[in-house]
Amino acid sequence: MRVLVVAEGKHELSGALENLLKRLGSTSASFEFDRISNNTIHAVHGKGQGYFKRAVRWLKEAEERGVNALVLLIDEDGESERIEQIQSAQNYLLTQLPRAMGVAIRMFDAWMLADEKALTEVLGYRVNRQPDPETIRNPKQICAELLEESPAQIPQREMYAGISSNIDIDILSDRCPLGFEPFAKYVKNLFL
Amino acid sequence: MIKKLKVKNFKALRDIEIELTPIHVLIGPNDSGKTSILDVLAALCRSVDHQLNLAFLGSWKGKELVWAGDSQLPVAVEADFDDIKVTGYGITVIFGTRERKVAIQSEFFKEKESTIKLDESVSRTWVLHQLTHPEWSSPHSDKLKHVRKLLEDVHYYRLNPSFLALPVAPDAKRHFRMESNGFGLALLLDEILSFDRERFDQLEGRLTKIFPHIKSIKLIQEEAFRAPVDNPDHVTMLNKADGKGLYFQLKDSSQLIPASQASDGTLLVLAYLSILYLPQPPRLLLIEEPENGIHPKRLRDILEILRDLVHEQSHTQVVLTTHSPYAVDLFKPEEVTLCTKLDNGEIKTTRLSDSPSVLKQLNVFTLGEIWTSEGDEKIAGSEAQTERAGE
Repeated sequence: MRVLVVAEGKHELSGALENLLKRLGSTSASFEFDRISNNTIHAVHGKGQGYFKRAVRWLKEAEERGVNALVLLIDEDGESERIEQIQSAQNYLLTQLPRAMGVAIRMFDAWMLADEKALTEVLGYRVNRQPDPETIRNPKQICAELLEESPAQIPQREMYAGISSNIDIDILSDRCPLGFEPFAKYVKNLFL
Repeated sequence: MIKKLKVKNFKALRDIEIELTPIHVLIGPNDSGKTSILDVLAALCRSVDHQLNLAFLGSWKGKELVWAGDSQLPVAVEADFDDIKVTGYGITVIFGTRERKVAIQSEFFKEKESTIKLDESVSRTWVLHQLTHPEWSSPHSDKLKHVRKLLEDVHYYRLNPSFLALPVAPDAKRHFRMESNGFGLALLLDEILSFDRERFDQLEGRLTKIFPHIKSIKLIQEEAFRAPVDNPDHVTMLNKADGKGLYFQLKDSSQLIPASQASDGTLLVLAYLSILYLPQPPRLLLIEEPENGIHPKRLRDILEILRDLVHEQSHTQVVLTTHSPYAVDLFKPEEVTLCTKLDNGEIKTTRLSDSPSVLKQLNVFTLGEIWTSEGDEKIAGSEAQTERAGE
């Protein structure tokens, strides 16, 4: 099964999101990655809000590339209207391509803070339980600060890749109920 | 390279400052000053090797080019360069009240932190005077020569496929250059062919790669047209004479297709390729709306040609206007300046990299999508902010 994975930044696309997808059941899938802002993919004009149109444009692009499914993930960045728009694209029926679309709240980096055991294992020192990840204003910064304390001396993208391999998916779902849990449900359905 | 342009009192450009990049695009609604910016850039560049009344292009007379038609207002144009020897140059001019007349009020160049003002001249710049009177001795001769080197050779195009297709008669004054409407393409190609066969072959190869159904370019002797060279009025009067016509040999046919029957897209791509393969590409290339007559995907080819021009010819700078979000997709935010008109009629410019509403969406959307979905006002700032900026 070929899956096109479209996300925003280097942290998602440098192994972390792929690891999470594998943990959610996509062990036999092969992934192709792209940035959602790829400027060769210009959203169609017409009805609908921006994020909805962008996501639908990626559905069409995924069909043109001949993949079997699309995974699309964006950050909420404090703009809650994005959730509804991406949900509309998830439910869009004019193309039948299987898809799992999600909005990380406030951003993907928050998911990395959900499980202190995974953080402790990857960073090599005891990390305390963090506040509920979806309430943290700048999770990228918190991750960077935790990494600074680490003796591991690894780039942030490697920290994310490591955590996503070790993280307890149930804890992640419980602690990120608005962003990760619905996204994980769609991903699991893709690979049933 | 011109890294900053400052203009005062030219048409609706009451007081603007734009930071330019090696390739830069101006966007905005109609009547928002985009063309005026190209015009004034062209005028500054042409002032170093043309009389001032010919430096300002187009049909105009008296104070028509001055903000609010006020003949008392001086028009000031200044450029900062990415250069060690001369860091800036500027002129202030006063337009006459009726005829096509314009005179220098002041002229200066900058080296490092100091500004050197030149004595008052009348109808032309000291840079031009230095060119036409090489015997003239001045402590600034060397710097003035350098200013000319930095600004001369501007090409300004609003290409029209009908003119690109015309057969062209040879003209001793027309050398490796098309008129702004594109007249002269056949002759330009013939000159490139005569100058360097290998260069012509590369150009042809690039064209046939973009249009695989074309096998080759043919230039054939036939009855052609003659037109004024570098006519500042942008009016082309055509006379008949012998010259060269442009044809295309197709892959699957022995028939030659005349340029007049070729697609607009083919002619436009060929015109831009011709500029790319000039033996001496222009220092500044100004282009109005390259998307006209072009399919969005073909537009990408043209913009790639222009980017190649900037990369391959390190001294060439390109400034263009566009209404196409597909074109804007291909630029970085710092390479795009939005022009908007304030209620009082003056133009405001906003670099997209300075717009918070652009930056916060850049991770997801293409630049063209942000432009079309946000709208000019929101990108330029709220109406209240825009009004305050105007004040």
